[in-house]
Formats: sequence, structure tokens, C-alpha cells
Amino acid sequence: MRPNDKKILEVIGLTNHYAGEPLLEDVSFSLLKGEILCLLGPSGSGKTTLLRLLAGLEDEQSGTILFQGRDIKPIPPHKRKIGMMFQEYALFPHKTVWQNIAFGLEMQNCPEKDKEKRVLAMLEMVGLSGFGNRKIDELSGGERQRVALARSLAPEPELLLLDEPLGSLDRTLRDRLTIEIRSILKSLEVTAIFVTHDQAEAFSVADKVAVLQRGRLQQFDTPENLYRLPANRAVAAFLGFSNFVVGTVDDDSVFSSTAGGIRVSQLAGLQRHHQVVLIRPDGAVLRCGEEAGLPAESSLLSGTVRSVCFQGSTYRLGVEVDEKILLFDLPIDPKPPAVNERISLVIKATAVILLEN
Amino acid sequence: MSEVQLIAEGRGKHCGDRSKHLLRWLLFSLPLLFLALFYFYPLTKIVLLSFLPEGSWQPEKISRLFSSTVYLRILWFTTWQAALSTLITLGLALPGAYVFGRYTFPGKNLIQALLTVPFVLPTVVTAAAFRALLGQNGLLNGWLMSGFDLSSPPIRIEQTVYFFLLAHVFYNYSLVLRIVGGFWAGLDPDVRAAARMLGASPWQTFRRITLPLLFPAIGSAALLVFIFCFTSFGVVLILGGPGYATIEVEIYRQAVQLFNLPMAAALSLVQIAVNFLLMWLYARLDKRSKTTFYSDGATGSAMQPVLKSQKAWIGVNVVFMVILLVSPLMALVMRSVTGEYGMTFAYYSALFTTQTRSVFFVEPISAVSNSIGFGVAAMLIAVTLGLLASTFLASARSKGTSLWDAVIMLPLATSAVTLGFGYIITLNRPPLNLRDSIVLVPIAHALVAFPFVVRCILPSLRRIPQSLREAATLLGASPFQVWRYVDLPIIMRAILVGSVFAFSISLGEFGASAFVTRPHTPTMPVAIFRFLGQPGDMNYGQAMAMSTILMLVTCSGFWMIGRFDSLRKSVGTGV
Repeated sequence: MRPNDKKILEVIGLTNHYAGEPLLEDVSFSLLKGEILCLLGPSGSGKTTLLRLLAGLEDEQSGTILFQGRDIKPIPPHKRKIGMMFQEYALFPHKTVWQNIAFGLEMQNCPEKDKEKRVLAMLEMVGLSGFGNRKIDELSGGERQRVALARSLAPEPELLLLDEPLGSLDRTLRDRLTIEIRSILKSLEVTAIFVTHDQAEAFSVADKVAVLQRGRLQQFDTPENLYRLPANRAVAAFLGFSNFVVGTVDDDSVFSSTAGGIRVSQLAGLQRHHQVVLIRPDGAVLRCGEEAGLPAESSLLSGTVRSVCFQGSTYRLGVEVDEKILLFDLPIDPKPPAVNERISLVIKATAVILLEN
Repeated sequence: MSEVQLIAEGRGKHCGDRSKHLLRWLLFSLPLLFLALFYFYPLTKIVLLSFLPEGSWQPEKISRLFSSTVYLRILWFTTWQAALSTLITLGLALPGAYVFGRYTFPGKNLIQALLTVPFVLPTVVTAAAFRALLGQNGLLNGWLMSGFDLSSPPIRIEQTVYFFLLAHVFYNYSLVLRIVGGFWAGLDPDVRAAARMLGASPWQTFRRITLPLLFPAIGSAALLVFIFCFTSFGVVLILGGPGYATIEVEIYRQAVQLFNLPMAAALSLVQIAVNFLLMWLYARLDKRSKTTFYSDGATGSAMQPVLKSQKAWIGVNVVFMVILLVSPLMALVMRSVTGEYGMTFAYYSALFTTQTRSVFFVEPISAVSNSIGFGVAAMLIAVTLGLLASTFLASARSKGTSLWDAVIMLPLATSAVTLGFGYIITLNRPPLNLRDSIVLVPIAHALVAFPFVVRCILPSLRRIPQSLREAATLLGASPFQVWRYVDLPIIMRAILVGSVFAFSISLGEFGASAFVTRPHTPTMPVAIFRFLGQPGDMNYGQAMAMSTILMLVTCSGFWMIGRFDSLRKSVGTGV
């Protein structure tokens, strides 16, 4: 921890129920100043609830939220100095772009001159200089999104919450705006919490990712660690992995399944209760010729090719191994095997992850 | 517009366009003919009569009208009472709209159902109900007199302005509540939340965000209330007494009581002009707020109350609603079964007998079957014409169509009294001698109901995506089959709603009926009006009894929509 790293937000045992149904169950984490956290999870996982509790828009809860070291439960939302960007932007339809951005500053009784300067700076930052007099219904989806970002940043909040801010935009625009948002947030050194159900978006925006499922925090980690070592089968499945192999652990760090012995890299953690491994699709190399020896720390998997799907930079192979289809991504060179061809794949031990079932 | 649509339209221009075009106009010719005969023809006659009273140009009549203080006073009074009614209604209904727009609470659905009652209640019944509650012989006065041993009734608002102002509030309260409450519930709650997150307090959020966003809805609700009160007829005629007259009431008096037809025509002209102006304003405003006439109620973003103060506020409003809406109707029913010596069904049984020196030539109960017969006939005419006109309007969208749409809505902007007056001065001689014909009543009612039916059917017809019809066509359906198996089932509910509206409008219609009903075939409202105009306890009691029957018949129509709707849902064919 560097000396200027300090916790800006600490969530301890946060639980919230609605009509008897748990929306959040004992969620705890903390966030450093300037960090961008992504709340990742399927719809109904409690992401938005968590965000609205932080904002103070919902308040039936048990557990504690410490913001800058203070319990914020008694503070009403408009005094929390937390900004929020809403899912459908929630721009004020009766106000112009300028008036929307200026609203938060007016609430702070900001002097007219400073206000003007700040709004101009915000417009420039989001690339909408000259759009001040536009009406909201004259803007495109991407422009609205920028106005919403500018509006929520104008009063300089200590924490910015973003609730699926790119949800309604198309793929290409999303990809571009994701990167833009990250660079704007980073340049202003704003601490932010970003809600999404899209893992690609989460990975490209976040410093930390929190995976929520059915109200529970499943994993809190950096994007890289999340991808390399998903904590459990639910997280792995949510990240899009499907190569789960059931079996038993024996000695010598070998996981035995009906598909054959698979070598696992996490020797230390290996325990008898591990019964499922995940094989990441990027961890396989096609074995050409029987004669070559097996590289160290890897396993051999044999099966029949059932499908070959071209995906641009890779081929995705569906390989039937012991009556189960496993998916592997292979480089487009050399030419992939044909359907129904029997192949052998070398699986790197680092691509095999033991999962808590 | 998608490429497929462009191609489809391009192809249409080449082959089927001409016959399709012809068919559209053929469909539309019937409603158009109906409007020409029973709307434009009588109206033209009114205009002619006011400028050419004896067949020659006599503008003096008009100029005398405007120089005479009597008529200016009527115009002023009409405007003033409408403005006052609107203000009072808004003041009372906006808190209710807040409660309905923002909160859910037990019994909300029941109250919502209750709120539709005044909306469909005939004006004559409302007037009778208020007399039953607060009139000279009303329930409250009766109780107070016996309770405090008074010799004269302590509440004396009969034949004062306050009496019909109260009735106007009763009428329009639920209208404002529905429009503004529905709009309020439809406001994105995130917009309010966004204001809070930007540092606005709850009060600042209300003043700077919610209120400005509500303005269009409040404006169009207020204007609609103003229009209704400006053209108020039955309530003012019955509750106001001879001392008060809106333009509508004065037209009736001039035409029926004083036989001053040119003066009545001149007043009708004023009424038509003001109505068009108001409706034009309303249409412009409504475009901005996009309120629907018959919304299924305010749910949307409503939430449960948390704080004690919120619950108390809801309670106060609900109690007020119940008192305002239920007490007159209760009084009406109670008064209809209370005679001088306690409980009695004498008034009801009297409806079945023909009395000597009575105000009727036939037994009064025949008014019930008359009304139902007229109602069914008017409903059939209005729905047939409405369906034809809606199909025409929905089949294309252009400048021309919206012009025709406006033409169809014209009867809505014309008062029923004006129409009734127009009928008696035009349809009394060949080529259209219907003055003594029984069909005149359902025709008048159908004309009044027609725009409502179109407003019910057209939106749901327009909501059907064109792709649905294209899919059916590519699956081999002919244009008629597309209409029969795609359009018709989807708009069935709208047709049903329109039918019941038409039926209940006909049942309660009084303004035009006052002119065109024949003495021996009275409708229920006309019968009630005649009873109320006669002295004596028996006539009063019979008015109450007849009003109760009319209320029950009207409400059962709407109850049947509900039944039919839930039936459709349970069968699983609901759209």
C-alpha cells in the first residue's frame, strides 16, 4: 500500500431484504481513493440495489457503509456528495444540455462565473462543446450518455456511481465509450463504482471487479485474477466458461476424471474435496504427431472434433471428450482439424483451475 | 422507415394502390355522409339563422346580442363559474393526484374503480344526487331538522352558484386525478433521484423538476375541466334554478321556453366559436402531455408509503375522496326509498302507473326501456361508424389524414345543446323530416358518442405494428383475412370499451335529448328532469327512484366490461 492510498469506502456486512426476499446478503468490501470498481452480475443479482443503498435512494438495510470514515446512514442523498449516472440517463427533459449540467452546481449555490466556467469545461471534456443550448430530445443516445456523465461529474462528487451507463447503446458505441469513460474518470482521479452485466465492459473499465450473484458477493478481485482464477463454478459460468470436468483428486497433483488424468497447477491447494475443474478454452494446443513428448506441467486430452466455428482471431472447436463437448480456442494457423477427426490436445496446467463446487 | 417498408410501399404504388385507395374512401364515405347530414347541415342552418333570421341579412340581431349587457353577463358568468370550478377542482384534486401517482396502498384499486363512477354518471343523476344530499328536501337537511328540532332547512344552497360548483367538483375531481395522477406515476423516478444525487433537497426537487414536468398534464387537465364546466348544462339547469344561466342553459330557454330561435342561434354561434377555440388549445396542449382519455390507471412507479406523515396524508385524501364521491350517491339511493313516514317503495311502484295530471302520457317506467333501446341503437351506429372511420384513419398517415381526424373530432367540440337545437330547426321539413321520428334520438346520441368511439379504437389500431400485417400477408392471408385475424382480435378490447362508452353516453345524454325527445317516448334523463321540475314529494321521490335506476344501469355496463375483460384473460386470448 502506497502512503496516499486510503480507503474511501468501506462496506461491512450489508444486507437488504425486500418483501421477504433477500436482495443483498452480507456484502463486505472496501475501495481505495481513485479506484474504479465494477459490480458485475446477472440481472437481479443485487448490483443496482447495492448502488442505490450507497446513494441513499433506498434505505432499509442492516450493515454499515463507511464513506470517508463516516457512517452515512443518517445523511440524506442530496448531502452525501455522491454522484450518480443513471441507467436511462434520467436527464431533465425540460432543461437544455447546459441547464442539466449546471443543475448540480446551482444546488451548491456556486457563483455564476465559476458555474459558467465549470459547465464549459465539462462540455469540452465530454466532447460536446457548442451543444449547450440543445434540448435533450434532440440528442442521440451517445450524446445523452455524455451529457449524463458531464452532469454527474460537474459538482465534483467524491464518489461516482454509474448504473449500467452504456446499457442501451449498440456494441461499437459501447466499446468506444467504455474506454472514454475510463480515461475521463482516471484523468479526474474520481473514485467510481460501475454497474454492468457485461464482463467485457467490466474488464476494460475496472481496477477491481466484484461479482455478485443472488445478492451475495462471490468474488472481489482484479480483472486479471478473476479471469485466471474464478473463485467458484457460478462465477466461472457467469464469465462464460463452460468446460467443467468432474472427477476426483489423487496424489501427485493429478485430477482424475473419466476423460483421463488432468494435471493441475495449484499443487498447494489441492484437496480431496475438489471435484470440479475448469479448463479455460485458451489453454489448449493441438498435438501434431504421436512421437513428440509431452511438455512438463501439462496433460493430454483426446477426443473427436464435433464442430469448428470461425471467430475471427481464433477457431472455436467443439471437442467431444467422454460424451461431453468441451470448447477450445485454437489459432487460425495452422488449418484446424476437420469435423469428426480424432485429435489430441495438450492442456497447460495453468489453464486448469480447481473450483469450489 | 425500414427498407422493407419502402419496397412494400413502392410496390403498392404500382399495382394495388388504386383499388386500396378506393376501398379506403368507400369505408370512409358512410361516416362522412353521417357527419354531413347530422352535423354540418344543422350547424350551417344555425349560422344562417343567426345572420339571416328571416331569410335576409340582418346583422342587427348579432350586434344587439353583443351590445346587450344581459348576454354579455351570461358570457361572463359562464366563463367565471367555469374558471372558479376549475380552480377549486385543481386545488382539491392535485393532492389526490400526488397520492395516486406516488403511492400504492390497500384499497387503491377499489377507489380507482370508484373514481370512474362520476366520469360515467349522467349529469341529471349527479344533479339529482346533490339535491338528495344537500337540497331543501335533502337527506342532510332532514337529519339536521329532526336532530336539532329546526323548523326550516339550515342548509340553503339550492338555487345558488355553490350548489352546481360543488357538482362540477364532483364531476371533474376524478378527471384531474386520473390525468395528473397517471402522468405523475409515469414520470421516471430516476429523474427525481438524479436531482437528489445532484444535491437538490426533496422540496427543491419538487419545485425545480417534478412541478415543471407536470405542467403540461396540469394544463391539459385544467383546460378539459374548464371546457366541461363552460358547456355545463344539466347540472346548472337543475341545481342553479332560474337565477343562473350558462350559455347552454340560455340557448335552451330561448329556444324551448321563449321560442326566440334567432337569439338561440346567435348564442349557439358564440358557444361554437368558444368551444372550437378551447378544443384547439386543448389539442395543442395535449400533444405535449400525451395524456390518454381512458387510461387504465396510475401504477407505474408508485411505491408503498413508509413514513407516518405519508400514511396520514394518504388517509386524509382517501377519506375526502370517499366522502365526495360516495355521499351524494348514497343519499340518492336512500332518498329514493325514504318517504314522509319512513322506508317506502312507493316511488318505485309509482313509476309503473300512469297518473292523471301527471307529467307523462305513459307510465314512467317505459323511459327505462326507451333509454336502453335508444342506447343499443346509438351504440350500434356509433361503433359501426367509429370502426369504419378508424380503419380509414389508421391505414395511412399523412397531412390529409390528420385533417380528417380533426373533422371527425368536431362533434366533440360542439355542445349537445347546440346540436339538439340544430336538429329541431333543420330536420323538421323535407328532405329530412325526422322531427317526429323515433330515430332522431339514437342519431343524436350516436353523433355525440362517435368521436369517443374513434378515440378508443384508433390508438390501438395504430399501435399494431405494420410488421404483424406483413407477416400475416407473407403467410398467405388476404387483406380481408389480415383485418379479420390480426387487426380485429387485437382491437377487440378497444371496440368493447368504445361500445360501453357509446351506450352509457347515450343513456346519460341530456343536452340534445332535451330538444329531440318526443313527449311520449322520454329517455330516463328527460323523465328525471321533468319530475324534478314539478312540485310535490311524489314527483321528487320518483326523480330519485328513476335516477337510482339510471345509475345502476350505467354502472352495470362498466361492470360488464370488467367481467368480460377478466373472462378474456382467464381464457387466455387477451391482448
